[in-house]
Amino acid sequence: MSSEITVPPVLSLPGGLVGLPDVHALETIPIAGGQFVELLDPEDPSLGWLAASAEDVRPGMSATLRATGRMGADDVLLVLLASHGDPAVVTANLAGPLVVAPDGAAHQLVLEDPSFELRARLGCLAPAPLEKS
Amino acid sequence: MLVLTRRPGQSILVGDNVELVVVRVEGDRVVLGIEAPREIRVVRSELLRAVEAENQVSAEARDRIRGLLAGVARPVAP
Repeated sequence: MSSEITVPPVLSLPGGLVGLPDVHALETIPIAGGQFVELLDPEDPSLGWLAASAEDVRPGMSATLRATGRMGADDVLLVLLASHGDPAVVTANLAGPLVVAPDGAAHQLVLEDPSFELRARLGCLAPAPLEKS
Repeated sequence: MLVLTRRPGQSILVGDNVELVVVRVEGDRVVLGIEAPREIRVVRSELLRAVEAENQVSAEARDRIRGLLAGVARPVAP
């Protein structure tokens, strides 16, 4: 768990994001040692998102979506982060995850499953597993 | 808007491969069954709008989130 996110340097989104159909590409920039990734619109760098691996937020989510054919075996599932509340907490949008194929082709799902909530609170991430020397 | 009247068990075809079936009516609620190809997105309209709004919130809060992530990220090895 909490492994480094591995995605191509540029994602292509032929269908755009939900509500943002003109966002057709996103540059990916790893942050915090690769635990999160920043997604920037190359045509408007002021427009961007922060994302985490869905597995870090909801372990097993990828397997559930693979089992129902919503994502491929080699695809990576990202969730967009938001902040809500006072004091503000970071939340992850599990209802609208981003499926990223190894070639960078990506699309945003909208999941009709109440167990994948719109604002899942992001807790502390588990420590990275120790590497064998 | 096209308005059709259906009874439970009856259906409506949309295009060549989408079928909406009225499963049952419970008071002021209608339970629908939907048969559609996997590539066609079928979701409640309010959920789609909620994801759309959350995308906007996420974009606007990017700088604030970056600061908050320090509290949830695991330490990075030097």
